[in-house]
Amino acid sequence: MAGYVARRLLDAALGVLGVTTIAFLAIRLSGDPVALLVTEYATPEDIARVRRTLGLDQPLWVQYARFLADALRGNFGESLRFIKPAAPLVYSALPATVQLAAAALLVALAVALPLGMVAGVRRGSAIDGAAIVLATLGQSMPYFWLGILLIMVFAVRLQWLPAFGSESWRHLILPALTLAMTPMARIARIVRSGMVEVLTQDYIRTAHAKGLRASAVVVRHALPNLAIPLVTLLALDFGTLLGGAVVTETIFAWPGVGRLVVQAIQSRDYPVVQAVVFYLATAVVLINLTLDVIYARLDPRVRYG
Amino acid sequence: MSTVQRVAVLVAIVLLWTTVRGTSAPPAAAQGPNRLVVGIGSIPNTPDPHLDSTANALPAYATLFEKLVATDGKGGFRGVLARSWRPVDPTTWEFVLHSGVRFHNGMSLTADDVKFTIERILDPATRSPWLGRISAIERVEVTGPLTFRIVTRGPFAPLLQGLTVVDILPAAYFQERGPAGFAAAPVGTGPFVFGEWHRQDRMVVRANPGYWRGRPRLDEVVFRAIPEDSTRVAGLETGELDVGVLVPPEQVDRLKARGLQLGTVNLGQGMVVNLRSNVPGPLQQRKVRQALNYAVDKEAILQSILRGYGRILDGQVVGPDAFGHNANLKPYPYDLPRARRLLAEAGLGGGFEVTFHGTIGRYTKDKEIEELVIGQLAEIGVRARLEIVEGGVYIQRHIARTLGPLWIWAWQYFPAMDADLPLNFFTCAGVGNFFCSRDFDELFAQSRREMDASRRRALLQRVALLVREEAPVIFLVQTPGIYAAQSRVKGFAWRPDYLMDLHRVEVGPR
Amino acid sequence: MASAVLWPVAIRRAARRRRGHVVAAAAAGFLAVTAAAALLAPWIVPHPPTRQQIARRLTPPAWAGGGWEHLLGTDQLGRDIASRILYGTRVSLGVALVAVTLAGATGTALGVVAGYYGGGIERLLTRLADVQLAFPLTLLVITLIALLGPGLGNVIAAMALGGWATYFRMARAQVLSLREAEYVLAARCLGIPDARIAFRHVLPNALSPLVVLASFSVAQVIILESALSFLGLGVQPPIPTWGAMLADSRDYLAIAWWLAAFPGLALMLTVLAINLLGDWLRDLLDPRLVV
Repeated sequence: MAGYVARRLLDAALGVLGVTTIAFLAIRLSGDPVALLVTEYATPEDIARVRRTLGLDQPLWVQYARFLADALRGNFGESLRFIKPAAPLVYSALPATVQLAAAALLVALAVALPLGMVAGVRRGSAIDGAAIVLATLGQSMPYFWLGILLIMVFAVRLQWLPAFGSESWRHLILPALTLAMTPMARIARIVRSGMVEVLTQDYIRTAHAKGLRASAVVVRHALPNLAIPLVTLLALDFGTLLGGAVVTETIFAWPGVGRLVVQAIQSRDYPVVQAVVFYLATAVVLINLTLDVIYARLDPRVRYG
Repeated sequence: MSTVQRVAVLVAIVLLWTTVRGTSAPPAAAQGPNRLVVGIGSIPNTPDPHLDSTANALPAYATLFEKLVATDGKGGFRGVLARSWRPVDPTTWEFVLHSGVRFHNGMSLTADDVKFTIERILDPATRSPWLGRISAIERVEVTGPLTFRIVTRGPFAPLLQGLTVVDILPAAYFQERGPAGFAAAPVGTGPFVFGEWHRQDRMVVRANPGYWRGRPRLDEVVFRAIPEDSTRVAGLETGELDVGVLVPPEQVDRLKARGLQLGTVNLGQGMVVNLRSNVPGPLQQRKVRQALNYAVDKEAILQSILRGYGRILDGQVVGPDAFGHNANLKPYPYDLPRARRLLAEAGLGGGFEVTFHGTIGRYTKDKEIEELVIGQLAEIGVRARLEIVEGGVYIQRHIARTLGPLWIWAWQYFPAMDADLPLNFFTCAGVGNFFCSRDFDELFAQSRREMDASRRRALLQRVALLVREEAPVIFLVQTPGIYAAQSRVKGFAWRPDYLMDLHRVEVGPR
Repeated sequence: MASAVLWPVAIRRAARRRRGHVVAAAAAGFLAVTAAAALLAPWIVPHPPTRQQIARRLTPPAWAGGGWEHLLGTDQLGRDIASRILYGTRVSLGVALVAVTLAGATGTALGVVAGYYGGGIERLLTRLADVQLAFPLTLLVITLIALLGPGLGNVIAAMALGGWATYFRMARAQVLSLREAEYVLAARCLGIPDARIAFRHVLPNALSPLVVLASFSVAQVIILESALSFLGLGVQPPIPTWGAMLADSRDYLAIAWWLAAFPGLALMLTVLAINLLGDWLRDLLDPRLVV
C-alpha cells in the first residue's frame, strides 16, 4: 500500500509538472503579452523597452528555467494586469468561487437526491417525468441564459433578491441556483438509474421479503450503494462547476477565480494563468489520488497497479 | 448513507466558512443618503493611476487624483493644478502651480511632485501605458516651489493634450511607501480620498473634507464592476445602482418607464472600419475606398442599431467636440449607384473578396454593426468574411499589422479631445500604420510643430479634408454613452471625455 | 426459476420497456426530422439566413402581430428567425457531431491501446487524461481557442481536444475488464496478433457504454458552443448557431422575447430527444452504466 501511494504521488508530481510546462509553452506561443501593457499610442521603442524589463527578450529555455525555479518557490511572477504577485491574487479569489460552488452543490444535492430516488423507485410515474424534464432543462439551459432569467424574475420583477454582488448570503442565492442546474441534472440522473439497478438486486428483495417498509429499504439498503458513484461524480463535477463559474461569475459580477482566469486567458496575463493552472492541477491530482486510495481500501478488487 | 452524509457535512462547513468571509464585507448599496453607487463595466485594475489606461478606469481615478490641465469642452484647456502656463520657446513650456493645494495626507503640492510624476511615467521600468502620450518630453526643470519648466525634444505642440492623462502623485509619500505601499493606500489631491479597492468588484472613495476647491456634497462614491450589460440594467431597475453607464440603446425606453433619468453623450471616439491601403490589393485605389464609404448606410446604423443615439461621422474620425474638427465636411452619403460606378472605374466592377476582422463586446453594439456593414458591402459585390478576434489580442494584432484588410476600430480622442491623437496613426511611420500619404505626413508634421493654437487648428482641419478625400477608413459613427440615474440623483452628467463630474452630485433620500 | 409470484413483475417490466421503445422512437423521429431539416435547409428556408432587412427588425412572430412573411419573427438586424434556426440546426448539430466523433474515436483508440498493452504508455496516458479531466472543459476550450483563434474549425478542434479523456478513461476500463476474458485468452492461444485482438475482438464488446456516453456529450457540446458565443469565442458570425442566437438575444429579452424563445426551444427539444434516446440506448445495452 505504501509503495502504491508513493508511486502515485510521484505520478501526481509529474502530472503537475507536465501540465504547468504545457501551459507555459502554450501561453507563450499564443501571442505577445507586451502589447497589452501599452496602449495603441506606444512607439516601437516603448514596446521594446517593456519587453526587456519583463525578460521576454530572453530565449525561451531561459524563460522556462527561470519560471520553473520561481514556481518551485510558489512565485509565479507579477500579474501583468493587476501589477501584483499572481499567486496571492489567485489565492484571494478562491474563497468566493469555493463558496459559490459549495452552495451550488448543496442545492443540487438537496433537490436531486430525493427527486432521483423517488423517480427511480416509481419509474414511469409523474415524478419520474418531472425528473426527466428537470434533467433536460438543466442540460439545455446555458448558464448565461438561466442567470439573466433568474435576475429578471427574482430581482427585477419580484424584488426578492439582489441582482448582483457578493456581500451577503442573499447575494449567493441566484448565482448558486444558476450554477446548480447542471450538477442537479446529472446527480438526479445517476441517483435514478442507480436506484433502478439496485432495486432489482436479490438483497433488496430479501429486505422486502423481511417485511421492511419500502422507504426503509430505499434509505437503508439502496442508498449506500450509490455512495461511490456519487462521490466520484462530485469529484468530477468540481471541474464542471468551475467551468460554469466562468460564465456565472460574469453575469452576477461575482469576484471569483473563474472570472479572473478567463480574463487572464483573454488578456494573456500569463503569470495568473500559470498560477491557476498550477493550483488547479495540484488540487485535482490530489483529489484523484485520495479517491483512488479510498477506493483501494473500500474495494479489494481494485488492483494496486 | 454515511459517505453521502460526510460529504454533505463537509460542503456545509466550507459554505459556512466562506459565508463568514462574505458577510465581513460591508453592504455596498447602503442606506446613507449621500452615497452614490455607480455601475460600470470594470473598475481600475490597481489603485495606482499610472498603470491602467482602460477607459472605465478614468472616472474612478479622477475622484482621487488631478492633472495639471484639463480640456474646457470648447476646444481649449483650463488649468486644474496648474494656474497658468506659457511656451517660453518652441521646446520649453513654463508652468505655475496653484498655491495651497494639499494632498490627502496633508502635504502641500509642489513642483517637485510634478517632476517626480512625469519622470515616473517616462521611466520604462514603470511600464506606464501613458508613456507614449508624453514621450516627447525630454526633462522637467524645477525653478521654484510652485514653478517648473517642461522641455521637449523638438517643437511639440500637443504637449497639453498629453498632460491631460497625467495624474500628479505626491513624491515624498510615494518614495517613502514604494509602489506596492502606494497602491495599497493611494494619495492624491482630488475631491475624494481612497476608501477600499476590491479587485474586479468595487472601489470606494470618501469625501475629502479638505479639498482645495471645497468639499464635495457626496459622502461616498462606490464604483461597482458589472461586466454584463443586462445585469447593470437590472441593478438600475432594482435600485441597487444609483447610476449606470453604457446602457444598451434598446433598454432606454424600459428604464424611462421605470422613472429613471436617462442621459446620453457622444463619447470622444470615432468608430470606423480601417482599410489597409499600404499593401498591394484593391484598397490601394482611392476610388475603391471611397466606394466602400458610399456603400455603407450610416443612417441605418444610427437609427436601427443605436436607436438614434450617437452621431454620424462627417468624413473625419473626430466629432465637433474635438480640437481640429472641420465643420465644413459632410458625411459620405449612402449612394449605391455611385459606389458601384467607382468600383467599376477602378476595374473591380465584379467586386472582390476580403477579410473583415471584428470584435464582440469591445465597443457599443460592435457585433451588430459589423454584421450590418458586411451585409451592405455585399450589395456592391464586396464579399467581406467576418472573423472575430478575441479582445485580448485585438490591439496587439492592430499594432503588429495582422488585422484586416478591413477591421473595426474606434479612434479614441478622449480625454485630450484633440484630433492630433488619432491622426498620429495615419502617418506612414505610425504605430500599426495602414495608410501612407506624403501629403498627409507633411501637413500633419507641420501641425505638430505649430505652437499657435488657431493656426494649428487650421492645419488639422486641412488634414481632415485630406483624410476625407483619401478615405483611409470607412467612416461610421461617434458612439453614444448612454447613462441612467435614479430620480433622487441630482446633478449627475457623463462627459464626452469619459469623465464624470461628481463634485456637485447629490443623492436625495431613498 | 421464475416462480408464479414474479410473473406480474415481468409483465410490468415488459410493458415499461415497450413504453420506452415508443418514447425512444418518438425521440428518434424528432431527431430524424431535425437532421433532415438541417440537411435540406438551403432548399426549405423561407429567407436566406443572413439577409438583413433593417426596416423590419424585431418583427414579432406571425401570431403575435408580425405577419406571415416571417413566421417566427425577425431579429435585431431584420433577419428571419425561422430560417436562422434551420441553418443553426446545421451548424450546431454538425459541430456537436463532428466534435464528439473526433473526441470519441481518439479517446477510444488510445484507451484500447492503453488498456490492452498497459505499461509505460498506459501510465503516461492515464496521468494525462486524469489531469486533463481535472480541468473544466469550458476553461480548456477557452484556452485552446485563445491559442488557435475563434472559428468553426477551431471550435470543433478545441472541443475534440478537450473531450477525448472521458472516452479514454471509459474505453480503458472496459478493455481492462475484458482483457482477461476467456475468449480473449483463447484468441491469444490461437496466435492472433494483439492489435487484431484488441480492435477486432475486445473493442466491439466494449463499445456500448461509449456510444451511450457519446450520445450524452452531444448535448453538452451544443451548450458549450453557446457559452463560447457568450464569451465571443464561438463560431464566426454571421453563421447562425443556436448558441450565438441565444447569446445575442440577451440584450433584447425584455423587449423581444421571440429572439430567445425559439432558439431556446429548438435547443431544449433537441437535448431532450438526445437524452431520451441515450437513456433508452443505455437501458438496452448496459443498464448498470452510470453516465
